[in-house]
Formats: sequence, structure tokens, C-alpha cells
Amino acid sequence: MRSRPLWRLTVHGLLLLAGLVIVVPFLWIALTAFKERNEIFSLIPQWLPAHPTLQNFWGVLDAMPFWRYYWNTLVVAFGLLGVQLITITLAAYAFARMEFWGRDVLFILLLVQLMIAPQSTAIQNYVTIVNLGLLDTRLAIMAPYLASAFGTFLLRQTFKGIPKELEEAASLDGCGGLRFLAYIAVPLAVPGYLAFALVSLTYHWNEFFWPLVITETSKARTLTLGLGIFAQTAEGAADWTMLMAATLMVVAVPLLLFLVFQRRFINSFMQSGLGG
Amino acid sequence: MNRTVEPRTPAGVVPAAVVAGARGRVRTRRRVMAVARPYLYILPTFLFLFVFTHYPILKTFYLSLFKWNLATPKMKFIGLGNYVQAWSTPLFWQVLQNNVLFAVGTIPISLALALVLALLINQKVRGLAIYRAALFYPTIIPMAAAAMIWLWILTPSYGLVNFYGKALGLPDIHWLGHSRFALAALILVGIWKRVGYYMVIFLAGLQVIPEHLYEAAILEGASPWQRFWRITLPLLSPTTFFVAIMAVIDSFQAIDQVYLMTQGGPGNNTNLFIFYIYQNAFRFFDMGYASAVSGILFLILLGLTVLAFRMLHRRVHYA
Amino acid sequence: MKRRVWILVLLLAVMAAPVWAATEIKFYYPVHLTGPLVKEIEAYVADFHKAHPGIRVEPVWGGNYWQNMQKTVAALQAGNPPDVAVHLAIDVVTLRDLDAVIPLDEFVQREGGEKFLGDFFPGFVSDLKADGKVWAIPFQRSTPILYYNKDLFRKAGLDPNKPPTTWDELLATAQKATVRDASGQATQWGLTIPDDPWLLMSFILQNGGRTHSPDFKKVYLAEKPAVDALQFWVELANKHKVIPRHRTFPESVQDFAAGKTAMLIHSTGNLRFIRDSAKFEWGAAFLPKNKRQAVAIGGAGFFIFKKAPREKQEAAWQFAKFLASAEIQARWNIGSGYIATRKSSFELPLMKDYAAKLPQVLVARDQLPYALPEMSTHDNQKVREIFRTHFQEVLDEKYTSEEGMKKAQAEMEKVLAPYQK
Repeated sequence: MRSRPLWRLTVHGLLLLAGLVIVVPFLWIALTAFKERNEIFSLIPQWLPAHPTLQNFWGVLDAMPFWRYYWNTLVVAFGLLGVQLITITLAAYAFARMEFWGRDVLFILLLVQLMIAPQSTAIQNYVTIVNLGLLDTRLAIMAPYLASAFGTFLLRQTFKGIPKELEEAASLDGCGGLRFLAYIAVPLAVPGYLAFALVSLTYHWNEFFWPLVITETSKARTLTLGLGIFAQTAEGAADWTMLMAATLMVVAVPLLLFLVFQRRFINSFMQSGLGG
Repeated sequence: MNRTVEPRTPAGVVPAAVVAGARGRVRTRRRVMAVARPYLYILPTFLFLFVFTHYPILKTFYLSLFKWNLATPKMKFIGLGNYVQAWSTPLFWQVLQNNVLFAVGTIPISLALALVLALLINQKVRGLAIYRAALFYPTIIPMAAAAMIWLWILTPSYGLVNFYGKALGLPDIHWLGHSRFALAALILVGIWKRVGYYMVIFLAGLQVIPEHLYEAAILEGASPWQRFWRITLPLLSPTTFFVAIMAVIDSFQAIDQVYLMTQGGPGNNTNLFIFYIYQNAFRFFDMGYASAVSGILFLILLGLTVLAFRMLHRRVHYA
Repeated sequence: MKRRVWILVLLLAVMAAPVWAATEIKFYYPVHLTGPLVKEIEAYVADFHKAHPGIRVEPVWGGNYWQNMQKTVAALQAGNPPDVAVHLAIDVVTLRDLDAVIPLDEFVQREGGEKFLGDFFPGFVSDLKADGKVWAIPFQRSTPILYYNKDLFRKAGLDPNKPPTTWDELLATAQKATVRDASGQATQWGLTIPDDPWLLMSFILQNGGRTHSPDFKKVYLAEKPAVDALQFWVELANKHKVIPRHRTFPESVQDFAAGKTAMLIHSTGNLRFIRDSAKFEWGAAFLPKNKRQAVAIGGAGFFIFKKAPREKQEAAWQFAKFLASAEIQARWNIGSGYIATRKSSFELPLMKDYAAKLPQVLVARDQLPYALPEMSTHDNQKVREIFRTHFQEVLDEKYTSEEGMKKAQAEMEKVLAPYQK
């Protein structure tokens, strides 16, 4: 049944169709980015740019502080990941391998974060950030995510899988507590960390609403937010060729990384069935 | 950190009672450490969690009991008055309805499509990696970028959809500006963005279904159709339910598309929960009412989460 | 190690010193229309810094008018408002209800009182006054005007020097200028108007109607002139099909620049964008009249915030005065299309040269005698949102013009009920 050529053709046909529906929009905007402004107003769709031009990309670099946004994004995404790795490791280890009073209740209180995303608490958190004097800073963009229920949850599962005997043996050799964590548990959990890191970096590269609320100037703004704002500014509004160039510039690097490390990315997101 | 310092003085020199006391202190310290350690480990997480997750939730419920808006600039306690107001405001119900429509429009369709695609890809066809990448890449790009892409594609007169729609005899429509189509357009973007992600989750689920179940079914002469209904679907369903509920939770907190594509309009046809809250708090300065709507949202999310974890438990029992 | 830290601290202190000496003020401003206007404003700030080295202005672009107001409301809520901000004239009531801003009479007196105010066009000052006090200095003021594409007029056999002057002519011209394909669909619109209440208000006023009471407590949308004005618009879109139903502010300007519509009713603030991007001959004219010649003023003013300490309020006034000066206003008119708020701006050689080259720029100024305040009430943002909602639902034929306006009226009255004393 499965090997029948007709069946195989059908499978390919359907996948091709679905693939095209998903890819064509991107292709269309990518081609738009290289067109001259008046070309897009033609009455019949022109797929290929008649006079391919880079002027839209230069225009974007001129109209928004693109590199500043890039730098902010890198600092926010990686800085945040650094802090998260510490907080989730410690918390996941405690929840996975220690007995303590109130553990289950605390764990549920942790999971509340999975349920209520920062856009739902943005108003109150805005007030908190102002009171902390952090308005319009990169730290403010990171603040609600410094603890990660998703990461803690993911790592807890991994840590739970480490056999008790291994910990006891290590403890007898003077390798207990934090040393056990650092030298044995963490290395064993590398795949989990990797999955978390990719999901976290993608999520924060892409975030829009919370940075929108908490920033005022380009000082701390990230790339995705910069794109959204550019689309709403007078310069960008409905100026399609430039807007599509900006979109392309924002997604280029993550998309290339994804194409190169496809399997890694997909496995990470598979594990993130929660929270992603 | 866990190694304690042994008393250095030789036992013979110091009176026994003192030694015992010192040992006791060390032991107490050790015991205190043993009790405190897990709390120290979770302290950083809970510090941040409290300030940025728990406290705002509590504060929201607290503020929801007050009237605090432009007409009443001094906060006034009114009990459940804001909740009553929400109940009697048609727009609140419209927003709820929009959100339910948005979830119902996005999730079942994308899950069904994702399942079909996962089954197809699971046939181990050639070029699998290419198909998978093509279907999955929208997961990687920001919703803001997806919004830009679709704003351009759906734009009136010279957008791609209207180009080809005209060839099919469809009228030239401003999809995002029309009250009958705007929400559908947001749903379309949601499906486009999400279907690859769900497909991957289903692939993970399909790969853990034991091959011998299928072999046994084939021996009993079950058709592929029967095998799908009797084996694949039942074994996938706990995953499906769980993913679906998480997706509903996400859909109740969707804002990027609304903010960038429609601003809730035309009319209020694409006004979803978070946008409505944001509008009331920051635009109308109706803080008490906005807090009450947030409170209702939290309760909805809580209900959905409890449901999701029930499902998760069922899944664990299955395995 | 420790030494190095100290050196660093010292270095930072030295670098920061000149900043400490200056008065820093935070300035929120909106840009609502198409064109590189953020850069324009930033250039004025730079010039201000040169003229007033003791003051540093931190300009914060807050999005369009509504988003900028949200930014201020959020900041007020957190106890951290800007020192000076540009907000719509119709937000005077809200900002006063929030007890957020100070009256500017004292500053105005110092500059010469009525003589100082007298140089501004009266319509721009009157809607910034309430309870006999001045609450803002006009800035970014506009009215809608009629832009038209002379090339497309010629193609349709219309006189390129005779834009429509009445509603009947408007309809007739739009019908002639609409181009349809074989299936009857418009490939070129006769006229485009953004589906925003601000533009509908002008039609209501032209129809002899009124929108709100001078005490900001009542609205009159269910009255016949208002309903009929909406009905005229709805028929343009749904019966005659000479205007597209829905276009946003930026979309409609783009459509005009791309030659997709023969006429455009839009803010004068777009004039610069159209000047720069239209590759055809275009004209500008008054909005057509019906029962009377009228147009709703739009735009904003500088507000100074109560929470700012005295010296920042002083600095904010210096800044507002600088941006409201005749010269900057002339530059702003040239750079954007927003009407220079001062009569003396039009006497400057700069402006005279520009008007000689581009006479369209004077249309908005000459239309000012017919300008009336736009709809303004307590809880204005809520009221405006109700207006927008029902307006768009009527355009989509969910209900009739009369039902729509009645619904809007009823909902607005509910919002305004707490203010009736």
C-alpha cells in the first residue's frame, strides 16, 4: 500500500501544496523587498523585480537605528538566557531531588507563570518597573522572564531521571550538593539545556508586546519591536517595499540559523510542547 | 558549602561539655543548612516570580474591587461592581465571543491540518527535511513579522490575495478593514504561523506509538483507515487535548496580531481580551474595570490550565 | 581592582557633569501622518539645544495621537509623567479630569498676553481654552482638505482647474472619475476618505449639524443633520460605489500617491508627503459645502505637566515657545503640511517663497475662517471609540445610518452620565 507509486505521488503532491501555501507568502515579501516603490502598484502581479534594487535596505538603515536594535536584542536574549540558566538549574534541582515542606504547593505557584503570560500582567508590571526606576532599559525587558517556569519544568524532568545511586556514590566521594549539580547533573542535562536555550532565544528575539509597553526610545528597543514601530511610524506606514525589506532584515539571521540547524531547532520545539 | 568545619582543638584539652556544645552547634548548623538549602535554591526563582507574576495578579484582583476612572479619579471601593459592569456590557461579551471564535477558528483547523501533514511526513518520503523546514519555519519568525507579511498580502487593490482573487471573480476586498472578514484574516495568520509547530508535536507523538500495534492490526486485516481510527488517533488524543488547551490559553493572550494588523477594528470585530484590557487601562484610564476584566481572564486561564493538567495526568497514566 | 573602579566612577562623573548642570525635560510627541516627520521634530530639538544650552530635551516619539495619549496616561498612572507633551486639543478635558496639566496663563502673560496669543489663528487657540484659561500652546494643527489628481481629472474629461465645491458636485465628479473593469469593479476610485470619525465630523458640520456641547457634556449625533451626513457618506460607498469603504489614514494617502484615486479628503498634514511622492500634477481645494462651508479642525498643542518641578515647567515653556515660534512654525508647515499656527509665519520670506512655488499650501490657511472645533467631550477617548465602532459598522451595512447614530448616541450618553451635574 505504502509503496504504491500513486500513493507516493499523492503524498508528495499534498506536501508540496501545503509547503507552497506556507512558503509563498514569504517568497512574495522577499521579492517585494527588492522592488522599486512604484513597481508594486501594477495591476497584474509581477513576481520578479523588474529592476532589482537594494535601495529599500539602505532606506531602512537610514530610517531606523537598526544596529542599535540588533545589539539590544542580542544583549536581551543572551543576557536573559544567562540568568535563566542559573535560576532554572537551582530551582529545577531543588524540585527534582530534594524533599522540603511546601514543595508541591510552591511548584504549582511556579507553574502559574506558564498560564499567565506577561502581556496579561503588563499594566501592573509597568508600574513596578517604573517604581524600580527601570523604565526604558534592557533589564526591564528581561525582568518578567528572569525566572522561567518552563525551563524549570523541563530541567526537573531531566534531573529526576538521574539515578539516586549515582548521587549517593558521588556524595560518598565528597561530591555532593552543588558540586554534584555542577559536575554530574548539569552535564547529563545538556540536551535539555540546549532545547531550553533555543526556545528561549527564539521567544525573546520575537517578543513584541511587553517591550512595546516598557520602552520609550530606541535606547533599549529590540529588533522585533523596532519592526513593529517602524510599520506604525509615518516613515514606514504602508511603504511596502521598505517595510518588507525591514521584515526580511529582522528575520534573516534566525531563519538562516534555522535552515542550518533544522533538526536541533525542531527537536527543541518538540520538547517545548509546553510553554513554547 | 556542604562541608562543615570540624573543631580544631584536640578533645583532651577542652572540657567535654564545651566540645559537646560546639558539636551541637555544628550539628544544628548542618541541620539548618539541610532544611534551608532547597529554599535557597529556589529563592532566586521565587523572588522574580513573586515580583513579576504573583504580585501583579494579586494587585489586579485588589484593584478590580475599586471604581477608578476619569469620572472617579479618587479610588472608591465598590465590591464586585466592576464585574457586574462587565456582565452588563455588550462589548465585553463581544470581546469574549471574538476570542472564542478566534480560538475555535484557529485551533481545530490547524490541529487537523497538522495531523494530516504529520501523517504524510511520517510516511518517510524523500525530501522530508525540506518539507518539514518549509512547514515549520513560521514558528521561528516573530508574530510581528508574520503580521507584516500578511498585511502586505491582504492589502486592498495590489495585495497578492486580491490579485488572484480577482482572477477567480472575487471582489476587491479590504480584508482587514471589513467586519465580516477581519477576524477570519487574523485566524488565517494564526493557522499559517502555528500549523508547522503542531505538526512537529504530532510527529513526536506518532514516533512513540509502538510499531507492533500496527503489525498486529495488519495481521488482523485492518485497513489503513481502521488503523488510523483505532490506533493512531486514540494514542495521540491525550497529546492532542493537552496541546489544544495550551493553544487556547495562548489564544486568549494573543495581542501582537491585533495590535499590528487591526487595532481591534473595524468596529470591535477583532477586539480580543488583552487588547480590550490594554484599551481600557491605558487609553480610557478605566483602571478598576480593566482590572476586573483581567481578573476574569485569569479565572478563564486558571480553568483551562486545570483542565490541561488533568489531561497531562491522563497521558502519564497511559504511558 | 578597587582603584580601577574608582577611576571609572570618577570618569563617569566627569562625563555626566555637563548633563547634571542642564535642566532635563522629557517630551512626548505623536506623529500621526505620513512622511519623515520624526526626523523633522528631532531637528527642531537639536536647534533648540543650540539656542538653549542650559536645557536638554529628551524627545520620546509615542506613536500616533492615540498611542501617544496612552503613553502619557500610563506614565501618569505610574506617577512618572513627561514634563511636556503634544496632545490633541480634544484631550484638554481628559488631561484636566486627570489633574495632569497646568494652565499656561502666567507664561502667556509674561510673553505679552493677548498680544502674544493674537498672532496665532483664533481657531487654534479657542479649543485649547477652557474655564477662561489657556491649557496648551497650539502645535501640529490641521484641517482636512481636498486633494485631487489633475492628470486623472483630464483623463475623465473633467476640468483640472474646477474641483467640486458642493456635495452634489463631489458625487458627480467622483462618479465621472471612477474607472471600472468589465465586472463593474472599481480599478480607480473617484474619491477616497479614511473611515475615521474626524472626517465624518466635517460632513456633519457642512450639513449644518453639531457634534457636542461647549461644556463637553453632551453629544448630538442622533440629530438629523448628523444622520444625513453619515447617510451621504454611506451612499458614496455602498450605493454609488465611488469611494472604497475602508481605508486607513496611511493607506488612503498611498493610494492617492499611487494614482489609485482621483480625489482624496485628508489632513493637510500630508501635504509634504504628497508633494514628494506624487508623480503627477495635483491640486488642493476647500472641502465641498452643503448647507454651509465648514470643516473640523484637528490637531494638537503643547501641554505642560503639573508634576514637573517648577524649573522643568519653565524649561518646558521655553521649549514650547521655541517650537511655536513663527520661524519653526513656517519650517514645520513646509516640512509636514500642518498649518503654521501663526499669522506672522506667512510673512516670512521662507514661507512666501514656498507658497509661490506651491500655492496649494495656502489652501488650508484660507479655509481656516470656516473651521470649527472637532467633537470633544469628557472621557473623549471612550466616546471617540464608540463613534468609530458604529461608523464602521454602518459602513459595513450591519445597520442603517439612523440606527448606528442612535446606538452611538445612547452609548455616549451612558459614558457621559457621571458628568451631568
